[in-house]
Amino acid sequence: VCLDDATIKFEIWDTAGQERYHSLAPMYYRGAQAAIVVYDITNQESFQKAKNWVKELQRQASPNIVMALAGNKADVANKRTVEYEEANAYAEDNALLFMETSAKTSMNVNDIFMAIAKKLPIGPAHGEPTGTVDMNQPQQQQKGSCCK
Amino acid sequence: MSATSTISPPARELKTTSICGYLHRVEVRSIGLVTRRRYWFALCDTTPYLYWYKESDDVKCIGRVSLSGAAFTYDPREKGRFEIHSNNEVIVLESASDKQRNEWMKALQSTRKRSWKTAKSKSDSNLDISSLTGRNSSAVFEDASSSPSPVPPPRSPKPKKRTAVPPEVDAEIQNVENVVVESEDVIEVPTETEETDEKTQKENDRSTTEWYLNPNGQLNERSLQMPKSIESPESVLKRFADHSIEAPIRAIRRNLSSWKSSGSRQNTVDEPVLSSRKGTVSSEDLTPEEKVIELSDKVSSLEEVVESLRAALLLSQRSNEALKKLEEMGENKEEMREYLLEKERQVTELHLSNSTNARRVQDLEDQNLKLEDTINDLQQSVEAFRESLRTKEELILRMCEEENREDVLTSGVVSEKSVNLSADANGLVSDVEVPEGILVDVTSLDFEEATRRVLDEENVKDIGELQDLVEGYRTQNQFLNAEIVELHNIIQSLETREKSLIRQNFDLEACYYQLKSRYLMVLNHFKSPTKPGKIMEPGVLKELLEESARTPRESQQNLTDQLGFYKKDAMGMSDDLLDTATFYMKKAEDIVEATKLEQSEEYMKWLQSWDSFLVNNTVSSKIAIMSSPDLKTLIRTGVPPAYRGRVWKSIVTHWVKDKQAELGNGYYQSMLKKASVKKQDGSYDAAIKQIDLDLSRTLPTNKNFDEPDSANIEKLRNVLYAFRYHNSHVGYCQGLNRLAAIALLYLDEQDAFWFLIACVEHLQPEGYYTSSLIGAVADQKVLRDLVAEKLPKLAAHLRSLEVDLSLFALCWFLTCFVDVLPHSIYLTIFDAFLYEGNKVLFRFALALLKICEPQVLQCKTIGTVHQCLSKAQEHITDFKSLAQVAFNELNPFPQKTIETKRQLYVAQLKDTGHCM
Repeated sequence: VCLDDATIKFEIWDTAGQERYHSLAPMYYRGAQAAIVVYDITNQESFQKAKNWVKELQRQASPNIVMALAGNKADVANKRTVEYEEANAYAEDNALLFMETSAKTSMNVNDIFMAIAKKLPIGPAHGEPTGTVDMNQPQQQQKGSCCK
Repeated sequence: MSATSTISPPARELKTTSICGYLHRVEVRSIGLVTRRRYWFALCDTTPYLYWYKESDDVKCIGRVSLSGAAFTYDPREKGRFEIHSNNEVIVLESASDKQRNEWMKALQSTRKRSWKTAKSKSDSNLDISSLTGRNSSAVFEDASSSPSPVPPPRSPKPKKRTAVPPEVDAEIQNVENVVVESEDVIEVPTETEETDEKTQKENDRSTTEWYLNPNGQLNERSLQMPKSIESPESVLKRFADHSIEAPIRAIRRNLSSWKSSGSRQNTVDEPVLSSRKGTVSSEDLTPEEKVIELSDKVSSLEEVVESLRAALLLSQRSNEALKKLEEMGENKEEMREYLLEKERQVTELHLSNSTNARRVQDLEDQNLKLEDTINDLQQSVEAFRESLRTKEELILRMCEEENREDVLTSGVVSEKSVNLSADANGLVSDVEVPEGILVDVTSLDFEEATRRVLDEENVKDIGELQDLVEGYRTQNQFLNAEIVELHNIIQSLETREKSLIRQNFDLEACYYQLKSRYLMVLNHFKSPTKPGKIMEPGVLKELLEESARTPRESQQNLTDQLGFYKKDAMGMSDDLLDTATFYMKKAEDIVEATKLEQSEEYMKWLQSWDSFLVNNTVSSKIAIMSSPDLKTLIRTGVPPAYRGRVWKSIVTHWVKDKQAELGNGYYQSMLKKASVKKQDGSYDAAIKQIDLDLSRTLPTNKNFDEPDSANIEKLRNVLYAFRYHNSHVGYCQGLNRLAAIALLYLDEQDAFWFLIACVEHLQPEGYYTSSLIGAVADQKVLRDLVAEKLPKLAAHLRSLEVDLSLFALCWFLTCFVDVLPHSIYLTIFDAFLYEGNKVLFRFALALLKICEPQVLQCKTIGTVHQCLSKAQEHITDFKSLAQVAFNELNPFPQKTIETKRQLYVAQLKDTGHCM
């Protein structure tokens, strides 16, 4: 992503969402500089799980990690069960970036990465790659949907 | 490396005939030494080769012979022995009995038939016309992959110069013919060979396809271990016309009647049945001399019968040769003339031998007369002998009278005197003059009878043998006739194929020149862009590029390969002409490379060794593959895509056969049923839910999986559902979807299910896919240790940058490199994995790292290392170099070390509650 004069390269890890891979997750977020926690706006349960992930990341990931919350499947908003306001309020409380996205229509997908890039501290090795972890939730339907 | 499929899937499903067993191969070595070796022979009609092995369960063959253009023959006199003539090579085999031989011959024929039929259908299907351009003439491409590598190119037998026929043998045969002519039988056998010759010449000029009219049968010298002869082309014609054995039977009949009329002097003409001779002979009341003559006549006539059968056999063989000949003769008039000259020479020979035989007959008649004289003499001497007997009797009578008289006179010395008298009488008897030679025949009548009996018995035995032989020849003749018909069919189909190929070739050439001229035009255009009147029509260039994209290999499906994987280079092209040019150049190089590879000797050998293994595996009807070092080596070279389904199935069966036996036949269906029942209950099942989610994420680069309603998605769902209920301990683990999908590329649903079971429960160690993934996690630690041991520099570098290898390597192990490496490579890794198990994953993981090592060592930050490793597949160009590292350069690679380490780490993880 080109941002002002700096080029930031994302290195994205998409982990398996199944519960049994949960114990391996620390391996992925341990050194990460950013994380996107994705839930499904048509699925209340996935929002609850996303909250759990946020808690885990706050507790175990690097303290400087940039976290974003993405409510996916914005294209089927008519089936929504998680209200925008609810999620937005939660994000503000926890100092998360928040956007509703759609992998299907790519709505906000680039934007959320841009937003993350802006928030990343410009390190001493300016322009060098940073790590991002994309924790796909089990309810996510398209594989690696947010990273295209 | 595109697959050359020699076995089309439907063919695999057809019931195949196969035969195997130990036979002896008889070889004549250069110094005339005959060796006779016992090998295991296997024939399976999925491949047109006969293979032989040292032992029945061998992987590597000793040798093989192509049957696709071979001719088979045998000599009924040699028990169980038969010959395969292929490419001017003769293979002599010996089976235990004639019955076995017949079975083999039948199997050989059916295999040959199938092979040329598939070849035919293949060539037919190749006639699909794919037009190269809209405006151009249609060009026919011969699909490159259709030149079936295991099938040899059509034979081109070299014509052999006819070897001179031994004159005696020739004469013998002529003798037979003479007899035929002399017995003024009704059936015509014209001997005007010149006329026939003319006819044949005409026929030959008319068409070369009428192979049977070729008058010049050329004999493959080695093929004949019996007398050779020439037969009149007339009978050749006849025999080919009705494809029956009538002609030889007619000849036999004539022979019979002729010897009967001359030998027995009875006019029982046309007694057709051979066996009736015996009866006729023994019932006749003849003198011994006549008997002898007649018997010898009979024998000679039988010999003639045999000869005529030989001639028939020979004819068949000659026609075989003629067939071969014709195959390559083509339109060569020059050669044709040579044949005719040869034929003429033969005719002269025939004439010569004819006259010789006439003389012979004369001689024989003279002999006959002489013999009759002798008989008369003999009869006279018999008369004389009887005369002498009568005198003797009179003498004895007289002596008896004297004795009686003396008895009356002196009864005291009776005994003494009588002794003397009898001595006297004996002396008298021996004094009687009898013709020499009959003297010994004191009991001549008895002796005569005994002799007759002995002779009869001998003859009966002899006749029995001869009849067997005749029967043998008859079956052989039938066989050879069938053989001729079939070879004829093959030749014809080959000819049509050749013609169509020539036509295709012309079309291609025309197309080539057309394209060339257009490219030249384009080049000219670029050379002088300012020159007026040379402005190209718009779109011409684009059209040309599109054309060139349509190579013969891809004329059918541009976007996917044979397994349904999308091709990377089918992406949109940039507008930059230079980029496009580079792209096409690379593509052209790839195609040339692939073609070269497929035609390389190594590739052929590789296919051959697989064919050899599979044939033996199939014929011995072993469902499961046996473990052997040879097989291990073979599998490490990769399984040819065409055989992969079969081989995978065998290996899977090898692993799960005990389970299959235990769980019964309908196990898969019962698991499916269970799944559907549970689903209807509506009970929530996380695993089932996850499976449904993952279906559309599996193999997204394959057209059989990329859409929710793609062909294989439903099958994949079934397999995963069934497995979930089969193994409740594992249930469903992400990653298994990929394994099952790979299986479904080659196997059907049920086999894919067992494939999954083999992978999870047999090939991977315990706990790989269970809820804690403990086995997989432990193996990551094992891998780390192995990297430290085998690639210490890399290990140190990774440690210094704090790179966790598991980020990459975990999925290498869980999915066996699916979606990590290009599919052509991971499929080959799967071959070895299926056979050897989890250990090969370590080998390949280390090999991959070793190949990447130089690049990784240059990386200075964690990010670049990550980048480098996540693009590992870019460093792997082909399987061969990877396998070289994996199986050779990394040795020694003891299973035991891995085992010990794994156990250690599993225990450790269990203690610590297992967290990375």
